[in-house]
Amino acid sequence: MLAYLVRRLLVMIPMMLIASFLMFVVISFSGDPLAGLKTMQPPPPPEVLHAMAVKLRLDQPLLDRYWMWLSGLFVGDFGPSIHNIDIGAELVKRLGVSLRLLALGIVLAFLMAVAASVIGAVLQFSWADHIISFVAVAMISMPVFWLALQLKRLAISINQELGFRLLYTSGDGAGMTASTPWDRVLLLIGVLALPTIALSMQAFGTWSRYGRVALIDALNSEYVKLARAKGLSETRVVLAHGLRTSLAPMLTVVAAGGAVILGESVVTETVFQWRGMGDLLVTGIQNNDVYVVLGWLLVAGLIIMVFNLIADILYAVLDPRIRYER
Amino acid sequence: MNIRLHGLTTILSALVVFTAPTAVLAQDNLVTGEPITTVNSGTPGKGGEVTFTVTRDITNWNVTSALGNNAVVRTVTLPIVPSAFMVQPDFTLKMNTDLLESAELTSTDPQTVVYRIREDAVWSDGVPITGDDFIYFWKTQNRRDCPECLINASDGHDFIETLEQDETGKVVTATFSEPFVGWQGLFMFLYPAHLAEKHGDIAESYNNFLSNEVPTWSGGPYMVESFDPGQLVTLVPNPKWYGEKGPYLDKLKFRIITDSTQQLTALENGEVDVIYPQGATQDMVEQAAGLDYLGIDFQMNPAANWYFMGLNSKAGPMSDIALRKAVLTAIDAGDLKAKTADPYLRNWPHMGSVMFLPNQAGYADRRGARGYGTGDVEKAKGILSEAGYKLSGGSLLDPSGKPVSTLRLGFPPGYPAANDMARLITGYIAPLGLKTDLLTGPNATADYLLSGNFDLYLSYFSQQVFPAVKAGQIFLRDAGQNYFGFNDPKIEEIIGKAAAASSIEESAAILSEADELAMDYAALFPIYQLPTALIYKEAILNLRDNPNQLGPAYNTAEWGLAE
Repeated sequence: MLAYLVRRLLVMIPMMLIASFLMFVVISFSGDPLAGLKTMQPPPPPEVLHAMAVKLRLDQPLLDRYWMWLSGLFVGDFGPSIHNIDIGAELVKRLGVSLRLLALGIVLAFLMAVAASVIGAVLQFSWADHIISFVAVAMISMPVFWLALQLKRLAISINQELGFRLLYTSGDGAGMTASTPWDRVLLLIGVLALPTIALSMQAFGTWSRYGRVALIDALNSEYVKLARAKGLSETRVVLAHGLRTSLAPMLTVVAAGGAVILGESVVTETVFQWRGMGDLLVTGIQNNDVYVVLGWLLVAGLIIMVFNLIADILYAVLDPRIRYER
Repeated sequence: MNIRLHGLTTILSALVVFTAPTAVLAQDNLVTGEPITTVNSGTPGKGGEVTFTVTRDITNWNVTSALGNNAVVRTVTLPIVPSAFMVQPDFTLKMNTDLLESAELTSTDPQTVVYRIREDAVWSDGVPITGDDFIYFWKTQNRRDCPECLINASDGHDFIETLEQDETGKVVTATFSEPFVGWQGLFMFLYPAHLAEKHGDIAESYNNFLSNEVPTWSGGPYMVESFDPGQLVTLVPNPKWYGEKGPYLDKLKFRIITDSTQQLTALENGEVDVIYPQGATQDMVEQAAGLDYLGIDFQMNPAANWYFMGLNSKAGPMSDIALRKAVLTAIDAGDLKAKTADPYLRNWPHMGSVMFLPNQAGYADRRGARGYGTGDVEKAKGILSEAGYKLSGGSLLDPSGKPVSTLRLGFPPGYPAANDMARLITGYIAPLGLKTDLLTGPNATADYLLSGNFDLYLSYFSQQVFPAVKAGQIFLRDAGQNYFGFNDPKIEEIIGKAAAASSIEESAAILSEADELAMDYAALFPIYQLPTALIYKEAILNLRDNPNQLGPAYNTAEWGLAE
């Protein structure tokens, strides 16, 4: 296993290098970083545009720019931003905001998916199974932004019924204050509730379908039949024997799905106005801030590789039949 | 022209007509019946908070710099940065009587302006606002003393040859190298020279201190208490405020909601009190109209931004003026407006000029006078026929017998009206045998407009208080926004004279002739003004739409809550 891990980590280095070069070339040709300035009314004087071009290294050949960017990464310099953003510090800050949302979304989706899997498998083809299946498929089919907008409408209605603002439709809580500890708890719930639900629903739908099938398979296996024949309680059979086995494929789907959720967080953060990684990417693209976009892609690429690695490791840990030694 | 009085009433009618089948609109909250400069007036009580929504994060605090010159930085810093003159909602300039006792044109040869600063005008640290601050700002903007200063535009500060102050520092005399009609538009923002000098030379203080550091100083009614990047700017009253009125609020907050479609939801949920979305849409107006049960009012006005279609006279088929005139004649401007604006902006005014807004002195419908925008296809065909073009098999052949190439019609993304206009214009010119390729995308402006890779381009220009200044940015041969190839020495000569006039009225009279010539050039087709929408809780007094570059934050000292 250790050798496998080392091999995988070593392979990641050339993969990241190739990915970084491709990203750099594509982003460099994706538009003029100074277009926003040039179309201002009136545009800035030519000497200002020239100074900005020099700052963004646009006066340098493409390969030189790539090398300057790549070598800068090793000392924590992610390159110049047209808007004077310290890209490295911003990535760390934004990642923290996004991870808060991602972690909560993944935990919520996973817990709901496990519960739905158990109900669906144990009560297969019952009305409860049908309802859960319908909800799961609906969540898979529903675009995240649309769900988010409906949640916002629902939140407004709930707040109006309650007569006070429990749920917030925008912002990650920064700049909001609460006077008592109870108010702080309410504020935290109010800020987190909608984006977490919006982010977790699609994953819940997908994971619960995997979980249901895996658990049905497990419950129909010979060793479960043996457990039942030995007189174990149905609860113990389902939880200790069936669920444990079915968690293996489910966890690997969850690990691999982390990257998908990262993508969905871009939409969720935009709709709910969280200043996380998603917002950083969107504003970076809008501003043609090429080094911000490059930094984002680099971090996102790394996260996806790590998630995939975790998925492979989980396969081995949870399923003893899988071994990576040659 | 102030179209609020009758315009908004008809917008109201439009709302009823066009939304009746799907929604019952509550129209009581569309504020009507008062002049744009005094609407929503009242005497507020002391205290309370107002949260105003802005649409982008602040990464540069210097609104006069190239990177800080945007509507959000202007809105957030207007309560902090003092101005000599302020653009009013009716698009006139008014001296800031809190800051200045007077600003007089004392001589026309050489043009000399004397500013007298009020004795009690001070920065928030108690240091008097003096000629030092004027001189510092002038040096950053004139492109001579600080070529390294990353300014947005000199805005005429380069016309000032000398700027001197008396021994008290409260009398400042500007002597111009040549007459400049826009002198009242100078010193629109002043920065504390005594703090700037502690942060390096002029370039360093301008490009770094004033741009990158959150201002801890103020010369206006409010000052920054805190800034959460990407989320919130909180202002509190400036304890050294020297103005006659206000500030009334305990806190003035600016919440950053970058997705303008989410702003109305935040307003409805009580998270913000005022929204001023860029590009009001029909949906937004309809939703706002339905919120009067929450005590929400709204004001709408034609903005200083106006849609146009530019024709590339430098290259391609549009370099032939006969074809340009035929295209402009075939366009049905009435139908265009009826289908893209009237559904929610009934009786929105046409634009008949490329140099004046309908409410500016000098305006006349010069578009209609030439038959442009009439949709008269037969007349357009006559123009083409006279110039040697022929219509053959549904295609237009140029005088040499070659088919006229498919026209590349570009427009920027994010403007639904522009998208609709492009498709409609394609239909208007089809009977002439002309076809179009519609070009858009995130980089449309750079890919097509800036590179000259277009035949027709739809976009908008932002008008200025001084039409001659704006005309100089579009119609001079080397002007930064001369995308369409205007190349007429006579137009340039007139613009030069208009810019050197002694009053805005005289300047407008002179510039009218250039407007006529620019219309004859047929490379720019004015369509109509974009709308603004200020949507807010009715308890907020003295908040009013200022549909020019400054926006509603021009009078934050007067904002307050009804008692």
